[in-house]
Amino acid sequence: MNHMLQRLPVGGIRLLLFSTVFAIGKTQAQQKEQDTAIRPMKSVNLVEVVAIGYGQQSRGTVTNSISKVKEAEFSHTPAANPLLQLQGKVAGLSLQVSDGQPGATPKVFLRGGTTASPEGDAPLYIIDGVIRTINEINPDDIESVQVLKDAASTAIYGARAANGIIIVTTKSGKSGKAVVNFKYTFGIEKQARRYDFTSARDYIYVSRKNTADFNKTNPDFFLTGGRYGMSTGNPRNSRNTLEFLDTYVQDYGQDYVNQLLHNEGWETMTDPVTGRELIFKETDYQDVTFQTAYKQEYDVNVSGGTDKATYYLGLGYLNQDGIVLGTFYKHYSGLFNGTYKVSDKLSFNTNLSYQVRRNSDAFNYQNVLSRSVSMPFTYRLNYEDGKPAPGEGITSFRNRNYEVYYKEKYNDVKMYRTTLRLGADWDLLPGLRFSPSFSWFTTEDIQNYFEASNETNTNRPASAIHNQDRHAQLDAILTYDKSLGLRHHIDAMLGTSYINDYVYTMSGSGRGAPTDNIPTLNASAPETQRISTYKSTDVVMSYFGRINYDYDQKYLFSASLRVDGSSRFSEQHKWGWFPGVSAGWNIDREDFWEPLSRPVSRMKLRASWGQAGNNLLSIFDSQGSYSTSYNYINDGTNNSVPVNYNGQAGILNAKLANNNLIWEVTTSFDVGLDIGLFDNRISLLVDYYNKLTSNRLFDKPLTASSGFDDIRSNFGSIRNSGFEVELSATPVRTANFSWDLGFTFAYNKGVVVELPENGEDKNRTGGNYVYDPAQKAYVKVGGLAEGERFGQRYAYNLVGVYATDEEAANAPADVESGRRQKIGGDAIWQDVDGNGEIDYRDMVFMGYIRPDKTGGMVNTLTYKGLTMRLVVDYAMGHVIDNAFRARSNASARNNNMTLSDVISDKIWKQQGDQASIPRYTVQSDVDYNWDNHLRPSNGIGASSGYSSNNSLYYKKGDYLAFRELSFSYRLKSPLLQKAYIQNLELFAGVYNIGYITGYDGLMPEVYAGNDPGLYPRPRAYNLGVKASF
Amino acid sequence: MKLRTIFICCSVLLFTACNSILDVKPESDITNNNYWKSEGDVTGYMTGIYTQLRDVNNSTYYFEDRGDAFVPGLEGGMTNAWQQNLNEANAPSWLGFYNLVYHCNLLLKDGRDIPFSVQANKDRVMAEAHFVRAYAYFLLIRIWGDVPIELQPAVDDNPPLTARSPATDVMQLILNDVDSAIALFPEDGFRDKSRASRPAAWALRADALLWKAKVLNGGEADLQAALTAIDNATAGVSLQPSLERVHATDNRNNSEVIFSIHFQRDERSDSYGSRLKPRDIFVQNAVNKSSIAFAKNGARSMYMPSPKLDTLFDKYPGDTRKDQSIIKAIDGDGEVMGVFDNKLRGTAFSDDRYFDNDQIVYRLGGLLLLKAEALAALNRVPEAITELNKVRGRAGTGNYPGATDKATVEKEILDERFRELYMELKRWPDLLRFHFAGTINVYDVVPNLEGKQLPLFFPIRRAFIDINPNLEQTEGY
Repeated sequence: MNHMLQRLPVGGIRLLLFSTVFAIGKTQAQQKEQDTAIRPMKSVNLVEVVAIGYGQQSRGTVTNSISKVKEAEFSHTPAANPLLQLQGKVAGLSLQVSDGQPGATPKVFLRGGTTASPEGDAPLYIIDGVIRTINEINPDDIESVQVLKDAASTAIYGARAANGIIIVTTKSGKSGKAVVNFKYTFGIEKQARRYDFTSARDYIYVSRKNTADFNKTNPDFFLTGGRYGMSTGNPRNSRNTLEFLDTYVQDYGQDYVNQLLHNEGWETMTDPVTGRELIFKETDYQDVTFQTAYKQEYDVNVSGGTDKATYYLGLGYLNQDGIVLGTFYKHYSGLFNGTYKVSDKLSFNTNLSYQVRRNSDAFNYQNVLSRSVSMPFTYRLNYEDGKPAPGEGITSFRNRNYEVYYKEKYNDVKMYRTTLRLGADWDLLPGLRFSPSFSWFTTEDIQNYFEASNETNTNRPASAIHNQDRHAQLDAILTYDKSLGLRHHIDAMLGTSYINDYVYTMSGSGRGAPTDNIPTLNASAPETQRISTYKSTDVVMSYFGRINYDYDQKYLFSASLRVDGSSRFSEQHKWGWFPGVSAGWNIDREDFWEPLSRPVSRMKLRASWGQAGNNLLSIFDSQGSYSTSYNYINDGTNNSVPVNYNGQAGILNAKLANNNLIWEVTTSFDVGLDIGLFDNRISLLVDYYNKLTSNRLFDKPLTASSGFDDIRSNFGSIRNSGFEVELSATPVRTANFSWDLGFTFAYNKGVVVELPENGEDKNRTGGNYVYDPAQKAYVKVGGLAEGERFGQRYAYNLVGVYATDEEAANAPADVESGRRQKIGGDAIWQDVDGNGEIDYRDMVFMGYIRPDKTGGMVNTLTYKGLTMRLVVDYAMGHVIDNAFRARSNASARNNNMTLSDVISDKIWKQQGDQASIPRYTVQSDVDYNWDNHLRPSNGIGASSGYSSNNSLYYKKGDYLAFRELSFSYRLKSPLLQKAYIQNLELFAGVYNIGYITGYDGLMPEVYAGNDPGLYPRPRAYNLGVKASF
Repeated sequence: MKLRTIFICCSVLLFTACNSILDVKPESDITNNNYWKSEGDVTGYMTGIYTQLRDVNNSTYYFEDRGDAFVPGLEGGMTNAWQQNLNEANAPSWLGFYNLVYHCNLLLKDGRDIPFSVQANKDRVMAEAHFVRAYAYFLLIRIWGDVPIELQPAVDDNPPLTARSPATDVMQLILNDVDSAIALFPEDGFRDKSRASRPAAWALRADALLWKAKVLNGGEADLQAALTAIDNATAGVSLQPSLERVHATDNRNNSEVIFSIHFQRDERSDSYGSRLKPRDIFVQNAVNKSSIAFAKNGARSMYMPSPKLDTLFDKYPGDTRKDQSIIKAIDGDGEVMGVFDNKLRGTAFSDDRYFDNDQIVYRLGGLLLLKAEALAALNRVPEAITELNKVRGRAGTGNYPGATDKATVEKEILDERFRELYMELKRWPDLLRFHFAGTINVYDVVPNLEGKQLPLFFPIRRAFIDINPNLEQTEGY
């Protein structure tokens, strides 16, 4: 879309004095380079050009809410995924990273999204005009990223635009001498915060002692027989290392024991139960699970051009290991952008890109990061022959070392993405231009998995997946640009678009190969082989138009309309209409502003209204589906399994049809101010928005006797409203030194506005009853209700720990633990309704799972050639249930490694202890009905199995993150010139340095309400050099 | 001129497209409009229905946990049903059962007008659908008592808010469906014991009639009719030499089986039998490890067979069923490490054991005792003892030696059903039948119910009532 650039209405018009927040990240030289590329400048002021749907516009005439993030944010990124660089830099953009794997996709949503679970409300990504994923785009090729937030700007993308639009523009060549850039980056990543596990010695001591003290039913089951990490009864070279020393000496001899103790790091201690000496070897499974990861990155690009043609060629290679052992991400990318002018009236432009990704992720995150990492430290890492030992010995999770050795080293996962776009600009008449384009984007995803025969799984399972996704997009746009007289200016656009998305998947599995040497499916036993294929097609046909008008750049007006047809809807509801209008007033251009123009150099008022849609549903929602695989309701999983019975293939109606489904519509209103102060040393973008999503596509609960629990339905409305501030300032600017500051703040409130009448107060759906002491009555809370913010969490309120059995003798009956008699060390639950019974009605409000206030700050200090950046971001207003900690203290699996909680003064150990943490029973809190740490959700807590629903483990998630501290230095030396090096830049930085937060888990960026043990964002150290020739 | 060319180009692009371009026909799934066209659609759907039946049936929650067959196992995690701690917040959902009902309703409605090349094949499918729907409702009334009656599939986002009907009305529906099935099955015998058949329908009829007679204030006529039904159901079956052979996975659908639900590795192998089995590490030091049906994966000793059952097997010496039902892991010192089920042992494959036992819904052993129960209830005690002795004979305990008064014999039949049918999802309904008929007081029999007021039927979820205000909570909650 570079073609629009030349036609910006700038000739003879006062330059607009504005730049957004993140222009400041550039070094002065870069700044100058870009400025001169646009036009000769009278001063340092900059005309900013922003991409709007199917075109570009100067910031001065834009009447929408658009944020722009520029190249400087992407030039030294530590992460493979460019999206991560947006965090805290765009007001109103929420970015959630729940996964520190390199290349992982963060969850992104704008202005609170459009649903009650906005994590899925991803904006539409448009990369150089092609609707495709931003994954695998090399950050080094990015020129700018723009975020279209209000519906008037997104309406031009119609049915899929309700969640906002992110437009990515890659670099292009400029006419002139060829420029070659080379960049090399080296990086190290480490775990930023660690779990506070006890030593193996403390684990053994406290687990055995507590078993002896507290376990009245089956202490021997835990102490002996080699069943758990704290059990003895483990012969030489078995999975667990713990045994009585005298048994070892007697069975294997003193020499062997001496060898272990003196050369192999084994230890001894006194057993608190029997008084006998124990021998064991500690293995820190946190160290086994996590590693120090290294990164190497090379980027080369060549760009240049003549007056007829321009080109940009970018090549990149990245090899980055993840901080979880065995995970990595390798990436090769190539991008070519070119333009060719056939005549004064006709030019062609093309984008070609190809990316190859090879990566290995943890096969099952929960098993690695919730379970394997908390394996008791007494389990053996390697057998005496040096081969890995599995740990506890079940198939579902083994220690990380074993998992990689026998299974994940065979992961062969590759993804190939190809984008091809060809466009033309044809000037038909003065001001009238026709721009057709064709795009083709394919993703081929080939995955092969295998597990070698090993002691916990001997059958050598193999599986493979082959996906091919194809996106074909045909756009045709007619634009007209006309000035009438000196002051009237019109710019109109009319277009059509056809999009066809095709998905093909083949998957296969088998087992029973005779050898480990053939990891592909062909070796598996024929009778175990299963192959499945799947195809689907999705079509969107659209027509759209827009007109922009301005009078002397003072009064600005814009209107657009889009009509979208989608194959996902039923016959009668295929088409949707999406209008948008906006207007602006450059007050500073009025004569009456003249006296104010020195302090307030810029003042624009703008407002917009628009509608956009969401067609996030499948054809089966509107038309029902009959499927040969089925997700059974009772089996507790969420997996579709083949409908086969006694070897015969069956079919079932998997989804009820709802022919009445219509487009969900998000109507939004936005009003904003663009302010520039003191010659634009300070500039400010302020927006208020109000977004109403109506006819929500939502799963409406059905009465269960219908046989279905819900049906996709247009169901009520949701409002997100809030305000955003983007501030940029240059507090200090001297000849050699400058300080630039960018700051963002966003506040969002999401409430349910309307739900279908169901006879309940606030038409609440879901939820449960709790006692409200203010009203002295049971009231229904949770779920969704009109006027309420969503994402509420309730939990049992732990108000103390019974110091003695006597104190516990008259405890209220706890329904959740089967009304068992409470004893010393049990939790004291608040009996909110005072009825002498603890049940779900005694749960109390904990908070909301998502933050409502977010933002960030970028500081750039430049002294001559040296630049320092300090970036922070923050989020406030959410709570987190630290389920990892709860499950450790609860000994949830009967076999969890202990955290330091269990030996602290806060936990109950014996009669009379005044404690804040209930006793560590060693017996599972759930399985043995103790229910002191882990409580049921009752529909108003977190329903995941990895949640505590216990106030003890709830913490505020508010945080301030130190995201980046980096330095770059530009070398200027005549010597370099002689070596044809125009520019040499050295850079170094630390990223994800740490947090200021009250949350006690690994990282406070948890927005699901509960922290089961996650793949934390690593701390990254980056070092590199960039040279231009 | 150029302008005109462009406009022509645009128009072609724009308007040839229109609506037809948006008509995308799904290839890998079928929308509702495209189904119910041919014979294969109906038979394929019936196959699908069996998988949903297998899913809802695969749990001890409703028919074992509340009874007295289980005590906590090595790994615990007992359900609220076992703890007799049910309330409106933790009540189980009937969604899966009604999903099964929905599928039957849909087939009966949309399959009705599909022509088949052979009418008998169509009759058989329809009979199977009637049978499964009857079975689903029979599960429902034994769990919740009064339940909503749904006979039409939901078609849109506003299905009727159906209230609970009295169990007696539901019973009538069950008997009607069973009678339809009996009438429709084209053959008397079996084609595939993993699917419903006319004998299976007779067996279900007998089971339902006994429930009606004892729990729903039925009468002698129901007991008489049950006797006829049992005779019809058992005409083509014979006892296996031992209980072990009845459940062995290398002897599926043997001569004793009338109707079973099929399990197999790679199709579905996680039978509920796995909940009373140890993981390998729990029995690694057992001297009799090789005899125990342990598994590396998929086993969990959530429950153990109760000492009460153990004792009951000892009542008559030589009961071969004891070792075929229960196994104790013994350590080197002769101590019991744990007690496990030994009936549903699954299959040991080279890599691991998989719990893939068929779930036998009706078999001759059980029906003989059901017949004995009906005869005893009719006060035809000597005939009842005759049936009882057939089962005792196979178990190796010889003829019944005890008192022959009605009350004693009825209690004996209940005990014998416990010994014979433990782990076969019969215990809790058995206890209820004999409780309502006055033979026992279930509150004295089930340890966890002692001293409690908890109702015998399950509660429904409060959330269900919130969605459908026509529903009422089960009495007593």
